[in-house]
Amino acid sequence: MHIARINSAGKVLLAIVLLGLLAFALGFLPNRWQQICIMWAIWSTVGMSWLVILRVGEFSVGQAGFLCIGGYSAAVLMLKFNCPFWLALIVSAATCAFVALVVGVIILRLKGLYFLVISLVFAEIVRLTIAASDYLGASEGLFGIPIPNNLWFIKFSTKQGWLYLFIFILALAGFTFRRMEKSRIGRIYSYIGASPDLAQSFGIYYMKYRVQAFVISAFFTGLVGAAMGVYLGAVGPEGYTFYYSLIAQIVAILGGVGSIVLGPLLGSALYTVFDEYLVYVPGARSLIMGGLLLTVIFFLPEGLVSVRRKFLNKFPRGFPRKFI
Amino acid sequence: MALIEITNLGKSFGGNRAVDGIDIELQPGEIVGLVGPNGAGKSTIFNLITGFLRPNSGTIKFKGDNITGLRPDQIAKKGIGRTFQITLLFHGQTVLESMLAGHVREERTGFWQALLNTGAYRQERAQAFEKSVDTLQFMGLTEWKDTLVNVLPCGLQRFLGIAQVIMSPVEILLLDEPLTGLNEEEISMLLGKLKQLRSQGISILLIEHHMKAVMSFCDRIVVINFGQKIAEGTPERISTNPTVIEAYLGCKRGTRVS
Repeated sequence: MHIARINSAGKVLLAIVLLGLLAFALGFLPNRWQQICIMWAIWSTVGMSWLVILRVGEFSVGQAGFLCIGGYSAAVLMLKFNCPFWLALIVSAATCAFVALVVGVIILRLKGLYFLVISLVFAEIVRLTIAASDYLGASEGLFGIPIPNNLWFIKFSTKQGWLYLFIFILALAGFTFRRMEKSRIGRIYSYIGASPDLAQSFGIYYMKYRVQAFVISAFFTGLVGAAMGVYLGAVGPEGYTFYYSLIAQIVAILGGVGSIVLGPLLGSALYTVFDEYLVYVPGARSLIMGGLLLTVIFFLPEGLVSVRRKFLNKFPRGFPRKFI
Repeated sequence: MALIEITNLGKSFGGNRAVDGIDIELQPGEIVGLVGPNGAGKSTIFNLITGFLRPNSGTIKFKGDNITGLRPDQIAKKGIGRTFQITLLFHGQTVLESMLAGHVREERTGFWQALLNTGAYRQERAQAFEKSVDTLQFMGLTEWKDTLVNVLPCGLQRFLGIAQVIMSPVEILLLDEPLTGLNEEEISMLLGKLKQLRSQGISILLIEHHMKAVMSFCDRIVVINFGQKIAEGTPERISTNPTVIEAYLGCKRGTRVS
């Protein structure tokens, strides 16, 4: 880590402009590839959010719970309260953050396997409670969520508009997580993840940061969940099963958990492309996906981000470890 | 006023009284050794002082304030630094990165300032950076600063542990077997550093089995056995105390001291 590195504003601006142009260009891909890009952006964001919790040392399998809360909040706000789309997005994400705060204070007292189990239980409780509530459409869910109004050139009646929205959310999450990782916040998370006792002996109140990480993770997961619910036009309890929580880990682990932004981006790209094209082999879908995962884990235990280091091994001396 | 005043400290694990009515006092600037056979309860006392365990009875006062039952981080913020018996490390971090952990409790900027990289945050980061370079220099770890902590030689990991604690001002250091795994040369080097720290006004409470070092280094020694204090005094008096000798070496039949 190069702590003393000075960010030149020009470089950052250039990067933003280039990435913006790239994102704009994605909107002119064929329809199917736009769909892939949307799923890529969604799972990248969820994967990154999952990694934040991993940084403080916990393995969460409850991301589906926050996708669910986000999706349902947006659906309820727009259907029952005629709330504008943008407000619904923000309120849904805030709701998720609030739920994470309340739930996190309780469940983050558990560590390791116990946390893993209780995060799974949390997601299932959310899903089953919703499925039992008539107000929330019970097992049928809520449907007919209106298409949001156009925003300047972004039309939400087309895939292109949604693509831009999801890429925007991804960029927001990516920049936030990147800044966290580069700053003291990310360092403190790593300290807690590596050794909570040692961190405490230096005056770091680890519960505070564990809950903080959980809340931030829930905020972005909820934001994606809300946008995804409106994009699909319907939310139902069957949509938010354990498998959703699993995808978050798959993309993060495929990409490499050492890199909070690049890892999920790469992992999610591989995952979504395979996921889309494996519809042609319906019987062997899970088999091929599982084989892919095993191959990557076996040959690249540190994920796709380690390809360069492992096979090219051409890094200049002193290349910052966290970029790899 | 005593820097640390422990009265009637007790801690049981089930039916096992690990610490049983211990009184210890530590004056400012003092170096006190805490010795005793394995399992005597020395590390438990450290964990009680630093809040990692809650005592069943007794009080711990730091400069007159009752700190019994506070959380470890709150106690650390008061200026009580500690190291652990097993070498705890932040795996995957470089020496320099893990040094910065010791400075966190000094930093006042919050989450948003860190996230937005404000001027105040950058200034604090620069201070932390400077302080870690100085501290690494003091502990003789400068050339290792970009090494991952987990590949650092074992002895230097112990040095790093102490270096991290003194990143922020501390008034007392609780060192749990700091000399374990060090060779003679490293021991004399570390003791030299500790003496320097003491001359800066830091008191030290030390658990150690290396008797030669304890005898030459401590002002006062407290001997613990089966959770109880069996002797206390200057190194000369302790080394000739029959109860202590019995606790350490056992005794001949018929010569048991009452």
